[in-house]
This record gives sequence, structure tokens and C-alpha cells, in this order.
Amino acid sequence: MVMGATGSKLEKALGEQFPEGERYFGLENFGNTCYCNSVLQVLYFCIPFREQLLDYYENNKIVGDAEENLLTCLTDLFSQISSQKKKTGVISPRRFVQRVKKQNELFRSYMHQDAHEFLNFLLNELVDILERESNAANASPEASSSSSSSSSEKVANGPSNPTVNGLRKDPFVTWVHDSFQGILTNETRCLRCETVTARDETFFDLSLDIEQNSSITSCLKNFSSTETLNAEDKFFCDKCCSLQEAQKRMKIKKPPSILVIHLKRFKYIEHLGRNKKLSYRVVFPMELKLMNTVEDPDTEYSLFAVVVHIGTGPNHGHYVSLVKSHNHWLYFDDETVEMIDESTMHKYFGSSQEYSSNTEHGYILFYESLGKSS
Amino acid sequence: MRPRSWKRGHGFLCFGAGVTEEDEVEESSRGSVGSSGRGEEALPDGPRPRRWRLQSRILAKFFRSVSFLTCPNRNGKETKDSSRLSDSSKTASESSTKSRDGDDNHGSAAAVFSCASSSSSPFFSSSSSSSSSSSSSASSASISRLSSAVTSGFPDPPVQKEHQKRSPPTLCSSATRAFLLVTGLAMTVFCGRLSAIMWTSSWLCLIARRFSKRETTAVKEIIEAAPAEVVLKVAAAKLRRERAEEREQKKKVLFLRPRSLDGRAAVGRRRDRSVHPVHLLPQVQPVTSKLGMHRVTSSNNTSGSTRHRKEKRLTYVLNDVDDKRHCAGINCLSVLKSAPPNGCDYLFTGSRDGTIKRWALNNNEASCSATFESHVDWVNDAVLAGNTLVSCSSDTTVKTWNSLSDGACTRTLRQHSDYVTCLAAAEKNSNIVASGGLGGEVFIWDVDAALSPVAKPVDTTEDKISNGDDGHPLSSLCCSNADNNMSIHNSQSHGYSPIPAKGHKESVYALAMNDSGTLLVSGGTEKVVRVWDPRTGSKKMKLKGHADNIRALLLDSTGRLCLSGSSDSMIRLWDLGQQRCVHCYAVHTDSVWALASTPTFTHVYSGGKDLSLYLTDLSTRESILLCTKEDPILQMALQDDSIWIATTNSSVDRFPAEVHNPQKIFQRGGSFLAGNLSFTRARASLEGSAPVPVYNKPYFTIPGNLGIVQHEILNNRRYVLTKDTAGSVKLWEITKGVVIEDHGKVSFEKKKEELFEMVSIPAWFTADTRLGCLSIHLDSPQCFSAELYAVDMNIPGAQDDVKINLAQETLRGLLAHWMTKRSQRKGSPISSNDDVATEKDVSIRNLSHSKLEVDDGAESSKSGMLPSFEFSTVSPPSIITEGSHGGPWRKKITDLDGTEDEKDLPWWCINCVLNGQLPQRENTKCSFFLLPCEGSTVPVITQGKLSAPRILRMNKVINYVMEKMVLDKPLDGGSSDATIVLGVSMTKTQVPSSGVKQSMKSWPKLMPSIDILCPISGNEFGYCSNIHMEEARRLDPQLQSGADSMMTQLIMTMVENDSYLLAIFVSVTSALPTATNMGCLGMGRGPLPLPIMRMTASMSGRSFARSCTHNRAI
Repeated sequence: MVMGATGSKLEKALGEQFPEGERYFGLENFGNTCYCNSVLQVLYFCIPFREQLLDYYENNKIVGDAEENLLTCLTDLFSQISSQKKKTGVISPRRFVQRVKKQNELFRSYMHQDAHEFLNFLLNELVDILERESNAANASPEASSSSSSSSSEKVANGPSNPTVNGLRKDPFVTWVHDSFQGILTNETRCLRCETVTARDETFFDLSLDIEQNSSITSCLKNFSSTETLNAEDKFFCDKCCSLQEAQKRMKIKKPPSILVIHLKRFKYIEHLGRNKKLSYRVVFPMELKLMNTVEDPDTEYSLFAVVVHIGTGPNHGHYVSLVKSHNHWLYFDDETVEMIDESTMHKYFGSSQEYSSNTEHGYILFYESLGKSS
Repeated sequence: MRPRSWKRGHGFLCFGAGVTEEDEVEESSRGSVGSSGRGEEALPDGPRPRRWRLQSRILAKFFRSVSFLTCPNRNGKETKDSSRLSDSSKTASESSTKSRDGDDNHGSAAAVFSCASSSSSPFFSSSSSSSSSSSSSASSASISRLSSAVTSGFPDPPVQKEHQKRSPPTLCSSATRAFLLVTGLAMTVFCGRLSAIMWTSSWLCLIARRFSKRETTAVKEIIEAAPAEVVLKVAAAKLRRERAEEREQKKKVLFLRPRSLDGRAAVGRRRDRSVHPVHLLPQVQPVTSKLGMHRVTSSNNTSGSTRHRKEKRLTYVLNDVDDKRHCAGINCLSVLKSAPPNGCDYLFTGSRDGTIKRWALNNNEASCSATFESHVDWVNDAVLAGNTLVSCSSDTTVKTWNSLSDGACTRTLRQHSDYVTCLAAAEKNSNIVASGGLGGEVFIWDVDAALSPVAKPVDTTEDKISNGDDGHPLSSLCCSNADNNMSIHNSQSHGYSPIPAKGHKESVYALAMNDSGTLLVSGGTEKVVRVWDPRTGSKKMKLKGHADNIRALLLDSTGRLCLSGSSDSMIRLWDLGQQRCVHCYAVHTDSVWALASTPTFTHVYSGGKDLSLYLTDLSTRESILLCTKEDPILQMALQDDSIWIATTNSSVDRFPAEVHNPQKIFQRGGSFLAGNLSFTRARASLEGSAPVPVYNKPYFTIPGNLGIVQHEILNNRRYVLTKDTAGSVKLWEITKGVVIEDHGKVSFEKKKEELFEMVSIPAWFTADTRLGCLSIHLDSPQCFSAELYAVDMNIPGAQDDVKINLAQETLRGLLAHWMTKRSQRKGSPISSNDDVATEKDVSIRNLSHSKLEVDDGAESSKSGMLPSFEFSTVSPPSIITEGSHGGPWRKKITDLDGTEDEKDLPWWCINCVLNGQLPQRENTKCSFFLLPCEGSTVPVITQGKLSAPRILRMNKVINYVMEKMVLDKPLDGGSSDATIVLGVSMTKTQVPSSGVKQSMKSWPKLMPSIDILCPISGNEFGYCSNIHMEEARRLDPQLQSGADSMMTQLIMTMVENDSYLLAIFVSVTSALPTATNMGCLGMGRGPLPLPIMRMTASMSGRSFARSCTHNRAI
């Protein structure tokens, strides 16, 4: 388990700059769990997420034999990492992976899996668990509920009533939401009466279509581009009470504090009848400014992690992650942890040529908000 | 333990095959032989079936091979071989699929001979690769391997001639056959049956393959040698196959292609464009169906979510009481100035209700002097070209009218494939009109040419004349019949096509032409003003500058200056000589939709979405707010010194405008300087310095009616609840076409809930309020699915069992006038040898007779026009429909003159009204079971299934139950499809006040009281209501005669799809005539007090289980 040589290499590389209290541990691969490992590394080094997770666990430890769930396993894993005595090494996330496999049959096989799917699954699961726990906490009178005033209401309503503060069906906002959730608004404008109907949607990540030799900014622009509903596909305008031409687009209403951008590096090829991996060169900046927001763009983001897919095909490959921790970039490849230079990030943009030797492409990008700029 | 005989067996094999590697063969052969060898004895374990299978297959193969050899006419093989000729890989798979049962056999044989082909490896690899694509590649590979082995092992036979297909090769002479048989027998005797069989069959396979292989090569050589005939045969087969495929494809395409390619209205489908939630799926982008410039000729039935409309639709529009007014927003205005002496000016208003009205303007009065009704969708624009009124509509047509006539359409021009949004006419040149529409289509029309009469009469018109068509001459274009018939010829045999102005990539929303008709400008969603030469349709220039859709354009008289108003709220002045924008006016705070200029082009009136009308001095940039309306301004027209304003409200206002001296208005003060950046104006309004309008109210208003903005079809499918622009909620009975209740300004939703009835009637019509009034659509054959009992509709004097088909009666009501007129025509003594197909109906005098063909038998009634279905003649509804010729048209039902036939009306309509024939519908009978409920002491009434027709009356069920139980009729084992006696039929539940009708026999005293509860809709159980027994008694005195049964009338109409579940509850009490109020199951008013007998019905068997669980819930 100890990769002594590598560990010390990293320690040596960092020297005194090795951040206090930080632990750089690789994760063991159980055959095909690189998708899991890369996402876990990213999440671990997403400081707000890690801290909130550990805090939550601290505060809400349910006494007794609590049922093991994904949240507890994840917390265990994170706390295990952070409480290691050594600064570097390898950890085996056995229990967590077992839990994942138990929870979702998609991940049960030994087939290669998609990191983005896993991320989605993980975040949604955490949200579900948090909801359940909060409901359970609110339902039982002796449990400490969030607000004393509302607790009596909840008791009266009974445990089967999943109301929060008397509101039905209000999406329960957890700290996961706070970190990752943003709001998209889908605007449709009837071209005759020019009324705009907007509908809001929440998202945990944005999946962008990509093109050869493009950049994230252009992909984001594409994402919010206007689509015209015309000809056969006219829009039924409620104001006009008839079918009219319309323009539709999606804009970001509330940008999340952690913006996850998923590049759709796959395309279905009709005549082959299967997916193909797109190795397009998509440049992602270290600093990103969102331009397709409803309000003025003043949220700046900084790249802090990239999940890289290595491989030529969409069904096989390997995942590694690049994480920025304390201003230096680290390369996590399952058990291996190395330091890399920021200047080498361009390797992961993709390749302009169809068949190149470099098959390492940035797949999921994690940007953290720097707060509002002036 | 293998007997030694086996070993000898494969010794032979080895010998025969010329094997080099003994071990391998031994292994493989032992495996195969051994496995088959043991098959004789019964084996306890698993492999046995395989061995048996193998054995049988081997035997089969053997016999087949033998037969193959002995019979010279290898028909079966022939086809296989011939197919192999055409496509090698295909045949490999084909033959492998055909001989799938021989798989194991081939496999084993292949195992044996694989080594043999090592010498001919290149061939082997190539053949195997060729057949690698087949799914059962093992067997096909084996076949190829075998063939390769054969070719390597044997010299090629001499080239066979053509006829070798017919007769087997001569090599298979009797000698060979004898040899084979002998060796086979020897093997049998010495080496064991199965090995012998296997060996023999393998040999035979070899021979077969060799023959065929030789055949293949032979034929190839033949093809090379004498290509013509053989190739033709092969090619013919291929061609046949290809053609068949093509036909399949064509069939598909034909099916997809819409029926009428006549440039009908390109109506799209309502698409609920919900975005896929981003966080769930990897693919987040909604499907972009960019059809771009795809020309839509008519409704494409495949993509829609609505039903596949094969038949033409009939729509009737319920006009408002006062049809002298528009009932929807006014899209366009046009002023016709008459000769000064005595003529008055006219104002033409084109509305979203599909009509154009001409108003005679006398001083300060306006009266509607004509209504131009022919468009079937919004009238988007109307211009005057001399004395011709040209209008365009969202129904994709451009229509021409004689502006001073009484409203008959002279010509329908179908050139556009999508909505036509705008028109432009040249003031000084009345012969040129331009039309622009969605899809970027712009056409320039020569009015005279477009309106010129058709050169040659076509058959239909001849028929028309011969049928006594009022003797209208062909060239008369004022007759609407002529229009309807001639409209088809416009784009086809008419010979005239307008000049297209090609260049717009996106939809056009504005057009303007200069006075002389030498310059045309167009603008649309492309944000670019395009300039054309209308005489040729050629592009002249493009003017960029606007940031959004261009909605209004104006050209000055010379064509040098152009004004454009856009959705970016700016008004731009362009100099076409300099080809640039010279000024930009930030006057409005929202989109600019209408522009009008003074004759000198020095001032411009502009109106738009910000509800305001501004007057702007183009040179000084001074702008003043003239008035503020309550609705967005859609169009304006200047007349003398005033300005008419059209908005989304159906009324038209006239304001003073000082057109000839606009400076006067500015002298009043309150003007501001228009900036040239859009946010300056917006900022100004936000900062509170909003201008004050000069005029607070108009001089004059032409009032309009309130339009319907919201509607809801109620459950009984005869009432529709509507809400209009003023907020009044009204209840319409669409079978009469009138408002039966006006609730005033109440909450629409609450009223809807209040009027909720627990009934279920099939949806026989759809409705929309596109035109500002209720349009009811009837589509065949769905529209004929709703039936009711006449008695339930309170028709006096109707017999008990008479059923009415709602659509049929509605149609008869709508076409009553038409029928009258028609009969009058027929009654006239003009000789008419009527060849027309529809002329096989009722005689002239007996209009009221019609046979009603009801589902369960011939229950005809001589009902005339039932009062429910008489439509008002004061404000008659209009029909919008389409026949086999021409496109959709619209007319009031009182304007139909009896000459319309299947070219104008859908055939199913005519058939229904004249002949009383409804489209053949599946005789849906619902079968159901009658079972005692759990916990009930009631005996089983009937074993088998009972069936009921589409609508079933509950009292019949009750009667049946009573008969069975009380009168103790013995069951005859119940044939499974026993229809309930007395032609059971169920009718809808009504509020008890409607009366309980029954036709019950007199029953002896002390009968059980039977309660019937019936759920209606498939998934939800328990929607029923029943009538309290007391009430029942009260309502119908006949009930008191001891028939102590409760009647619940419920409607159970059986729906065509198979997911409809019905369950009927029959409650049987003891003999006491107690009132049994079961309550309304759906409402949960209380438990059932008495044991109930359960009768469940299901359209498909699988719903039976569902019924059980549902029942338990009660």
C-alpha cells in the first residue's frame, strides 16, 4: 500500500511548501474504479465541499447504529484521508466503492464507467440522503431540528408529511446545493407578440457541446445560443392563442459557486451505430468569466480541478484528475500522485488532428467562484 | 470407455481426410464422435440432449444429402446456390441460417477437416474473412472451409455449360453413388452406426459443397464467358429485390408525405418544449430541430402529437351575436379614399378573427358595409391596389377582393408555404403588390395577371355549369363558387406565377414599396433591411444596423429614404442612395411595430409594444407622445388629418394627428429630443420623466366585440366554458352554438370546478380560440364517437331507445341551410343528369328523414332536426373546411348556396348529412363479468362473460340481474358472448333533476333492490354517483309500483383503446325496499352498507386484475 518512493518524491518536490494539514493520498483502483477515484480526488480537494461534509457529519452524527449510506462512507473516506499521519501515500476506498456498487447497479459491473455519470449519481445521492435525514430529524420531536418554531408544526403534520416549514414540495436546499447548484432559465419569445415565457431549471453541471478548436467561452456561448422555432415546429403562444414563430434560448440565471462543466466528448455515429469519442481541442482557461448569464456577467471563476479521460474510444479508457491544491497542481492517477506544472495543462485540451498520440483530454472541468468582480 | 470400434472409426476418418496432424484430429474427432457415439445409451447427465440433437441432425443431414444426390432436380439447393451466386457473404449467412440445425454437424465436420485445408490456407483465410460478417460465422466459416478443403483436395471439374443448374453434374454418376452406398454400409457394419452415418454424411456434404462450389466457379466462368443470359437472370433477381425495397421505401415515403400538396396552411404542432433537466442526463441540449428553410407544403402528420389526420377537417366558428364587429385584434388598416364629390371614405380593417370589414366613414360615423370572409386564419395585412383589395393571412394564402363589393373573394393565390405576414402596394401603380412571409419568401405579383380569368375551363367547372350553377359565366369572378373551383388552378394550370425575390434566409415581417413600384424593401428576423427591384426580383442592397427583428418599414414616395422600426425599439432612417443609415431615433421604450409617415416624409408616427404613439420630427429629432393605448399598437393608417390606430383590441380608434401640419402638435410642448442610443430613451422613462400624452381619448372609436382568450371543454362534451378579454366567463353549448349562461366576471378556474360533472363522453371535437371566437373542429372518424340517448337530452317525444350521434346531428344542423338550398336547386326543372356521386340520397321533399344507423341494430327514428342542434340564423356560425379540390375556405352557414359538393366539403360530411352514413367504426363490444362480491351471499348469476355495446344503460343491467335472480331464470351455462338481454345500454349520469327514465317491466313485490355503481375512467375507480332511491321515487312515480330498485344511470362509453377499464357494481340487498344510498364512491362519503355484487368489465383481459384491487379499495 505504501508507495514509498513516490510519496517521498512528492514530499521532496514540495519540500517546505507542503501545505500544513494537507494530505495527498492516492486511491487504489479495484479494476475499473478510476472513474470513482478521479471524482473523489476532485471532491476531496474542493475545500468548501470537504469542509461542509466533515462539518455536517460532526454535527449530525446520529447515535446508535446508523444505517451506512453513501454519505457516511464518503465522510469516512475523507476523514480517513485527512487524519492520516503520513503526508502522502495510498488509501484503499474499499468500503466506499462497495457502497456505490450496492447503491447503484449501474456501477456494479466491471465495465468501464463514466465519471460524469458517477459524479451526478454521487451528488444526487448525497442530496437524497441529506433530505431524508433532515426529514427524519424534523419528524422526531426529540431530535434537534433546525428551527424551534417550525418543529411544532412538523410534529403536528406527522412524520409522513415531508413538508419543510409548512411548504409543500419545496426543494430542500442542502449544502450540496449551495455548492454545486445553479439555475438555468429557458426563455421563449414569441415573435409576434414578443412575450417572453421563462422557465427555470436547476442544474448541478452544464453539459456543453464541443467543436474542434473551440474554447469553453465559445462553447458556453453556443449553449446559450438562440434557437428558432419555426416552420413545422412553431410555438403555441398563450397570448396569441395560436402557433407562432418563436426564439428560444437558455441562460444561466444563478451561477453556482462551484461550476462544473462537462464536455460532451462523444458523438453518435449513424453509420457505425455507436458512439465515438471526440478528441477535439477545447481550450479551457484558468480564469473564466460567465457571459451568458441573465444579469450582467460579474462572476469570475478559477479552474481548480479537471477530470481527464485517457483513451481513444468512448467505452474504454482511464480517468485521472488534475487538482489544484494550494496553488500547485497535482496529478492523481489512482495510486500515483505527482506534481505537475500549470504550463503543462495545455496537453489536456485535446488534439486538433483526428488521430494523435495524445489521448488525454479534459472531460469535466471544475471552476470555483472567485466572488463577484467589480 | 470407448469401444475399439470407435477408434477404428476415426482411423477411417483420418485416412479419408488426408490428415497431417493425427493428434488434433483424434482429439476433435474423438470429441465429436465420442459425443455422438454415446448417444445410444441413455445418459443421465447434461450433455445428453446435445448429443441427441447432434445425432438427429446428423441423421437429417445424411438423409438430406442422400436425397440430394439421388434426385437430380435440386430445387431446394438450387435457390440456395443461385442466391449464393449473387452475394457470397450473404449466401454464407443465408445458408447458415437455413441449415442452422446442421450447425453442430458442420462444426464437427469442420473440426475434422480444418487441418485438411492447411495447405490451402490463403484461400481459407480469404473465404473465412468473407463470411466473417455473418452472425453464425462458425458454420459459415465451416462451410467455406469445407469448400476450400474440397477445392484443394479435388481438381476442378471441367467447365459446365449453362444448363448445369438444371441437372446435377455428371460427376455424380451412378458409380459414385454406388460406391458411397457400399462404403456407407460397410461403415455401418464394422464401425458402428453413428460414426458411419457421420462419415457418410460428411462425405455427402463434401460432395454437395464441391458440386456447388464447382457450380459457383463454373457459373462464374460461364458469366465471364457468356455473360448475357446468366447475368441477366442474376441481375433480374437483384433488380427485383431492389425494386421491392424501393417500393417499400416509397410506401413509407408516401405514407409520410401528406395527402394534400395544395399549399395548405402550414400548421405546426404544439410542442411542449420542455428542457431536459440538466443535472440528470449527460446530454443536456434540447433537441434542436432546425428545419430552416424547409418548405412546408402542408401539415406533416408524422411529427405531430395530434392524431394522424387522414380526412379533411370540418371546423365551425361560433360567431358572436353582433357580427358587424370584429372579435379579435386588428392586424391591419387601409384607407380607401373615394372620389371627392359624393363618395365617402372607407376603412378596411383586417382582423385576427379572419375577416376583413369595410367601414363606411361618414363624418364621425362608421358603419360596417361589408365583411370579407374567406380566410381561415388571421388576416395579417391588407392593401389596396386600385380597386382591388389584396389581403394576406396566416393560412398561407393571398386573396383578392373587389373592394367595393359585398365581400366575395375573387381570387385565392396559393404561393407561400408558410404564414404570409405582410403586403406592400405601390400607391401610383395599382398593378403591383408584394407579399412576404415566414420562411423568407417574398413574391411580387402582377395583379392583373394574377386575376386574369383561367384560359381553359376544366372538367369540374363544366360539370358545375351543367349542374345548373345559376348560369354564371365562367369569366365571372365574383361568384364564390368560381373562386372555390378556380383556386386550384392558380398555381398550376393558371399559368401565372409571381416573381420571387430570393435572398432572405429567415422570415420576413415587414415590406414597403415606393409609389411607383420600382423599389421594394423587406425586413425580418435577420435584422437586415433588404432592397429589391420588384420588376425583376433582383437584390439591390442590404442595410445592416438593427439589433433585432424588423417589424415595420416605410419608403418615401421617391424611394430614396426608408424608415424602419424594429423590436430593438429603434427607428432608423436610411438613405438608399448612400446605402447607409443616416439617423437613429430612440423614441420608444419597447419594440416598434407600426410606422406611418406624413406625405412629405418629414414626420413619422410610430407605435409599438410600449402602447404609445409618438410623432417624431425626422430632421429635428423632436418627438412627442400623442397618446397611450391599453394594448400594443399593431398598425396605423392616416386619413385626412387624423390617424387610425389598430391594436390587439378589436376596436379601432381615431385620433387627431395634424397630418398636414404636424408642427402644430409640437407647439403644445411636452416633446423631447430622441437620442440615438436605445438605452437613453429607456433610461429616461425609468428616471420618471415619462412624457405626457397629448390626447387622452380618441375622437372616434369603431367598437369591437370582446374576444375569447381562454376556453375549457367541459366533461359532458357539449358545453365549453370561455373567458373573454374583459374577464367575463360564459358557458356555451356548442351543439347550438350559443351562450347559455353568462356568469360575469368570476374566476375561470373556480367556475370550471363548479361545473365539473362526473361523466365521461368521448372527445368528439377539439376547440381553439385562435380567431378570437370558439372554433370547433370535427375530424372524421373520431368525431362520430359520441352518442347519447335522446331521452337524456330532454328531447320531447323521443323514444326510449333512440340514440343520437352528436356529431351527426351537429353536422345536420350546420348544413341545414345548405340542404334546403340544395333541395331547392334539385327541385328546379333544369335537366340534370346527375352523375355526381353524392346524388343518391333522399328525395327532395323528405329532407327530414334520415336513417340513423346505430351500433346495436337497426333502430331508426324519424327525427327531424332536433332542437338541440339548431344553429342560430341570426348570428350563424361559419364553416371552415376543405374539399377535394381547392384549399380551405370559410363561409357562414347561411351563405352556403347548395352548390357545394365533395369538392368543397369533405366527403364524410356529405355522406353523413345526406345519406346518414357514418364511417365504419369497429363494433366495440365490451365484455365483462358479473361476479358476486366478496362477502356477499348473492349467488353467481352468470358464468361467462357478458358483452355490451358502446354505451350501455344501467337499467338494462339491473333488469338483467333481476331477471336472473328474482325470476330465477336458469342459466344455460352462459355462452361467453351473451349480450345482455334487451339490448343493454347505459346512459350518463345526470343530476337527479334530469329525471330517471326507465323501461322496466312490472316486478313482483319483494324484490331485491339493486344498486349499481359504476366507475368510469380506466385508472381511477369509483367515479360514479347514484340516485338516492327516494329521489328516484320522487322523480318517477312509476317507480312506486313496487319496483324497488334504484336506478343509477351512468355513462360508460367504451373507448377504442384497450386500456379502458369498467367495473360495475351491483348491489343487491335483501328483499326490503330500503333506500340504499351508496354515496358517491369517488367522493368517499361513506362505506357501502350492503354487500354488493360485483360486475366487472374490461376491454382487455389484463385489466381484470386491476379491477379486483380497485374493488377492494372500496
